[in-house]
Amino acid sequence: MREEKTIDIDFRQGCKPGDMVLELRNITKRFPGVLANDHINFDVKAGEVHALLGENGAGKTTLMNIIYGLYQPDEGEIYLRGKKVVIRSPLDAIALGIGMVHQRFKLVPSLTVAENIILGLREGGIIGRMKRVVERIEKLSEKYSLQVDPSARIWQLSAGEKQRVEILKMLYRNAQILVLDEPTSILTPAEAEQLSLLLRRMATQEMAVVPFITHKLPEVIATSNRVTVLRRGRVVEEIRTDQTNPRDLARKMVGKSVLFQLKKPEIAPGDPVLEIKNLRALNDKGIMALKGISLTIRESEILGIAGVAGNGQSELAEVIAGLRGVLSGEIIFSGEDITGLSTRRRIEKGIGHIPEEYMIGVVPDFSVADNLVLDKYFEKPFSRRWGLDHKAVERFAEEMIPRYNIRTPSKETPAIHLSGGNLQKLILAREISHHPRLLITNLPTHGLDVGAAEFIQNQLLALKLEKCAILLISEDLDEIMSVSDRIAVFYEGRITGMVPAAEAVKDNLGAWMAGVKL
Amino acid sequence: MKFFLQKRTDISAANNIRSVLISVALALVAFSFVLLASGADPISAYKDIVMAAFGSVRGLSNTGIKMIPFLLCGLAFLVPRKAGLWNIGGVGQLHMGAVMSAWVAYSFPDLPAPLLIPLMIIAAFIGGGLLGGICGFLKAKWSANEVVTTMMFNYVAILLVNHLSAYPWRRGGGIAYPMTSEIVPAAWMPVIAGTRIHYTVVIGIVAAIIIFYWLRKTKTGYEIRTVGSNPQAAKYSGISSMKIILLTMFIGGGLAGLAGFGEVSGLQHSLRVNDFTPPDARYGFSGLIVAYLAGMNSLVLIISSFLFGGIITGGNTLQIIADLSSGITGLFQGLILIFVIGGQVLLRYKIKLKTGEP
Repeated sequence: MREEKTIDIDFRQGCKPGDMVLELRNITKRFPGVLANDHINFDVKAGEVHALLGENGAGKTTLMNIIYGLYQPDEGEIYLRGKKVVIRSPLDAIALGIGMVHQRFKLVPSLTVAENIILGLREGGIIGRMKRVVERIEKLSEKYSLQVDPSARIWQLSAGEKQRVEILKMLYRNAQILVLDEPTSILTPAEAEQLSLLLRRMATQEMAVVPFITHKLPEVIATSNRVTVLRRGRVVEEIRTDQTNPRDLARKMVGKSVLFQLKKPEIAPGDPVLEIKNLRALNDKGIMALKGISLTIRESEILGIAGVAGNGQSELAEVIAGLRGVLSGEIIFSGEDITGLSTRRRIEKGIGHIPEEYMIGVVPDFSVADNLVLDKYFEKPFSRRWGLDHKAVERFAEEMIPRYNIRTPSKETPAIHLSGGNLQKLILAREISHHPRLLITNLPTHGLDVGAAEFIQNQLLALKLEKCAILLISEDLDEIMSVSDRIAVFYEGRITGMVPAAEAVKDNLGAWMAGVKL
Repeated sequence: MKFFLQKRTDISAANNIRSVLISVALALVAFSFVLLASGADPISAYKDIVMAAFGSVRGLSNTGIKMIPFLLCGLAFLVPRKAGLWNIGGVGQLHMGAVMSAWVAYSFPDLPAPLLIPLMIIAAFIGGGLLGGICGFLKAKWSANEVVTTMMFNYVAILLVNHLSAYPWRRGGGIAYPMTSEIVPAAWMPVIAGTRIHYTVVIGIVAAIIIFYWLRKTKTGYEIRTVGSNPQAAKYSGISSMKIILLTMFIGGGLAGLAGFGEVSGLQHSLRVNDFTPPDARYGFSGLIVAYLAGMNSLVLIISSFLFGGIITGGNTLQIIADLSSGITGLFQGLILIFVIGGQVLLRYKIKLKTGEP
């Protein structure tokens, strides 16, 4: 099928702004149990930025991988300037002028910018030729105002500069359609603004640009000419950016869906269990992740934290669990300041933690039984003077496995052989059986099927009867709204809104999540 | 058509033993070609090795002597490995233990044996332990790669022994080969009657048994295995990986230090230039091989170090009988290591043929 690629590489020749460049028709992609893309129509025109907007799991990444040749669609066709093409691999995509800038940079830190740009191409290498490479890079960066020093080494560059190198890499390969995967997620606000300007400018030079943006509505508004909103694998709407606003987009993105029917125990909240005052903390990259968070959770109360991933929720969970240090602020637990206490002391005081990823909460090589005591092996009855009481550990496992419906061949099976849902139930069993006074749960039902998710949600609700205070971090608004008593929304390390769950309106939550002030 | 590796889900102890046995058998086959190329008959050569190593009291005695440092250095590799660390510094820690026990023997020559020998043992353990512990500290505090630091300290400790043998502690009397003067007889570890095997072998076997239960049955063992298997989970459950790294590196280093004590107190009774790094038995490095041969099980390590002692003893005899070069036993060790580690990969993964689209 090689002849399909006989398309004029520089299709910008005689291409006017507004001409159709790339067109996806009725693209459908199924994965086991999921319809990731459901008859999606999407097109890219010369001279514009066309944003693709949607929640996690809406099907953006799948569509992008289809454009870039990593997946083959089950149904549907791709047209490049009116000719049907089959994109079998990223090499095909690049040959057709489609360039991709990944969220995670694919650069070699110890090499120079120029060396990275020609990596994988059959040029350069011999010293004399490097000069020509550098000249071409300089010409390109001048044309598109992409200031990068070709002789700088990658490790010396900031995230924004690295991204410019990735863009240059694609331009060097004659890319005329630029696809960017969540391009602002690792940038500082100032860098994001710069990128926004850059993309607009590139688009006016007859380059077609497709940024894939999750939830960052203000950036979509600032950057794009058109927006396509995806939800659950389908196109909800395609709209001109100047005819919409962030609130409208947020509503379309989140959609209306049926709430779970869960039994909420009717208990009034009691005394405060956790009080956080003006908490500030850094993330792993040393950037401020929590910018003055204050909140209170009472006995028998579930506080839901909504927000797009990476806005400080995980850092909050880690800070409360004692896994991350704080810059300033106080964490008061049952009236006692625990800001300086170790993780172990906090566990002993009754703070349970269901971590963001189940692989953080289990030891893969350990048996189910050994994993069930990870937070209590040092306490009676499991611990004697030096040794572990294996009989007690086994008895405990025999009790927990049926009670929490953990599906495992035996209590001796290494945890690594369990499915994600069952690992999550294992962690839940361990943390709940400790009778915590405070339970931190970070994405407790993420990636689970409906049945397992509902089981876990009902277990959390039942904990309210034990006067447990629960912090529920979730990206799933339906879950947050149906399980929590109160909802706080995080955006860029701040709480942008807080409401009782009974009064929460989905549109407002979505807007708060996008950083829109109401 | 392409090959790819698929993770196995059925790794059992029996499979592990089978993998090691098949690996050793394949190494023997591969080594046969080396023997053939050197003009020796493999069948009779292997017979010679077995007879020389296990066929006589003298052979068994030599095998036992070699077993001691293999066992202790194997444990020195195994204990940190359980915490996810690579202690490649067995050689250096052994040398440090040798220096410390010799120093005690020279400093307190008038002490009676029941006091002097335990003192030497403690000093050797602390010496080796500190060398390992420093690397553990550098790892825990600044994430300095322990492979590099332990390996570099090998040179420091080897050269320290060379220096002490050649200068400050050098034996007088115009001996051409630089060595230190003999330690007093009270500092000699007793030997099993009729052999040259010193009682350090008991220390090694007891240590292997203790470590077996320590790692499996105690709270600290649970913590070590947690850090080794999933450091994030360890942090999450409040286990101090700093403590675990320091502890395992100290104990590992200390055990290798005991091997150094055994060589000085039980066998050589002095230090010599390049004494513990002859090409046929780089005990510190070989610790890694015997630990892998034992499938990282400290009880099996007792057997694998005994067998490995036999390989070295037999190999040395073979060199003389078949007139082979002195590198031949080192080559054999290397082959065993390659096959055993390859076997470990195949134990965890199976090779699948890629046919069409996945």
